[in-house]
Amino acid sequence: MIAHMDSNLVIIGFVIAYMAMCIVVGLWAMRQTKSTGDFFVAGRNLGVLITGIAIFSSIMSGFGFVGGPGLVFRMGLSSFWILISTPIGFCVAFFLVARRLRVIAEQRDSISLPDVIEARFQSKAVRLHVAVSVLFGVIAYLAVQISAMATVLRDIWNRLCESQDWAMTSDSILLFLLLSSAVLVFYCVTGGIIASVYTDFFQGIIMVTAAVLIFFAAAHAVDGGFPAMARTLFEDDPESIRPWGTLGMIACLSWHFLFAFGVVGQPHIVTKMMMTRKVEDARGALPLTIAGYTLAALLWIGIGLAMRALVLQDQHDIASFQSSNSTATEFLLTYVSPWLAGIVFAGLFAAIMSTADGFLNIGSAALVHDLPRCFTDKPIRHELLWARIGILVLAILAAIFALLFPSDLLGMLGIFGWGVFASALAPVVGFGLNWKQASPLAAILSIWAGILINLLDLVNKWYGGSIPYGIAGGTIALLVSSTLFIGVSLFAQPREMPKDIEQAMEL
Amino acid sequence: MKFWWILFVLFFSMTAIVGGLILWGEGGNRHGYDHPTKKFISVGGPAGERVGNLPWFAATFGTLQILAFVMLLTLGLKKSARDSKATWNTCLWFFGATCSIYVALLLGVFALYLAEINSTPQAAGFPTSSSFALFVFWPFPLVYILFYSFGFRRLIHSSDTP
Repeated sequence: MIAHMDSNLVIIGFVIAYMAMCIVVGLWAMRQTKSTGDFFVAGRNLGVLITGIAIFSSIMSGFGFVGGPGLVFRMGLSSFWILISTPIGFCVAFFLVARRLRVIAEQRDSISLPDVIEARFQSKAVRLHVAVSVLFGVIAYLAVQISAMATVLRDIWNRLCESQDWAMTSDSILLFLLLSSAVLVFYCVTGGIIASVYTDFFQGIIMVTAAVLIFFAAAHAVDGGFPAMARTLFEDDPESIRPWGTLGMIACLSWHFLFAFGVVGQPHIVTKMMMTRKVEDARGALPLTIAGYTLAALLWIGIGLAMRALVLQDQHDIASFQSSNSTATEFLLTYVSPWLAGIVFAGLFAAIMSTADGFLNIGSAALVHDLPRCFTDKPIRHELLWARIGILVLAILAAIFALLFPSDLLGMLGIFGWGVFASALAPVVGFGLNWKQASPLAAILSIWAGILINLLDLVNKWYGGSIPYGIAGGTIALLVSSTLFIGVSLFAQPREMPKDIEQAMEL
Repeated sequence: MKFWWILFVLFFSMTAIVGGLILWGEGGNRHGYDHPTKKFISVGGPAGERVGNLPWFAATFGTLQILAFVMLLTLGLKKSARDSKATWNTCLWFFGATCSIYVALLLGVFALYLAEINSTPQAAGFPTSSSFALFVFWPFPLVYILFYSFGFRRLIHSSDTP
């Protein structure tokens, strides 16, 4: 009992220490932030190490830490295709956009993705549509991040109350949601993107270290290690441990496409390519990003396989699960030393906070910088102050969304967010920056095709529908928007473009 | 221009495959169902029953993806590399050869999977097809990372680029 009590105290101690660190980082970053350029793109002054690690850790987020192991637990090897898609996805993103984005950002002193896109297409209408799609995706993603943080906080708190015999357990998420949002807003409003990338860096280091340790802990949790897990899974359902998992080959390949090409459209990823000190930094950032992601994926694989095997062997009671998303929490609270669990939970909060911070920054830029710029060339007065107010507004909206949306359907919002960014932005950014004939009309049509198909998919799932073969809705949206973009542009008249943009595209 | 027409055909073909499959319908559950005794876990069921003609469509869909991705990678080459006939030809050989191997590896995953539907060969603790996907197919894009990092100044970007 004492050991149990201590372990919960150790874990909550780590979480409180981490939240305190966030406040300190936020205050430190505020001193470094003197302009909107500092606030949104870190003054374009990030080194290779910080950029590489920040990119991979901002993509891992709560989805990687909580959702990933849950997917392996639920579907066996199916979700490995998300991991398998990542190396080629990052390659496509770096090859296609890294240097052109960085060059145009410097030439035009751009502080957001829509800035670059307007410069490229010479169209305020395209900027407007990109900004709107960013806001759609940001709200959905933020709601998931805030909800994930509140849910994990509540679970840890309830465990602590039970172990200490405090009659203070709570089924409601409201209090934890308010607490999470308050820390998040303070951290983002004060620190901007500088706080985010430095936390991303620490989070990345924590993630990689913890993932390697957890991988070995997972191997020891089941007698006989990974071969025994594979045997257990095989005896129960051979398909679960074969390469396509329980979901099947078409669904896995639809994920492969969505998560590989979709990386190009993720604003929280590609915007970081605009923040490096020089174009050449991309050279080291790509291998660092992929190495970090691959190592962090060990946590995803290890926990998911171990928990599925333990439940199938009746060594772990499934009754304690709220959903498959409980997989990581259950494993950490049961099979790992409290010190390591505390570090991983701190890493989890770091993942959520820094990703949410990145989204709040991008969303705030869309709100106070990009939307007004669609109608006037002058920046709004006191843009930095408005950027901070924008963050507050977005956080409140996302928290309300997180409260109103049924918690068991929140995962869908995350997929919706990724799908919207991928399908609305990947063709515009990826093709647009590489093809002079790409037209504004093609950009606008593909953005709306992406948003509408993802919305239809969300509504379909809301009413319990599904797509045949488990094909991801985001994949359909990305395929249609990409085909539409290329098809319309093929028949468009080439347009005059400013010399500097033309040079950047001919690099 | 020819490049974008080819890319258009690739994307259009993938859209057609996915659209065709959706319109065709699933005809039974081919993407898993709930475990009979354990909640929150799904099972795939007997492979022989759910595979049918799907590998043909899936392999084509996967191959088109890889072709599209590798084609997109060539857009990352800098202008001087594209303009120099010798460098461009070397790069084309590199991308052509690696793309062929990449596709062959994907088809290898399918072949091993189909071969082991009725048996249980194992490699590195997993079914052979899974081990092949995890330890051979997954790391293959490392060649593009090495290309990017080691060929950066010569082929991707150099500070003297205007």
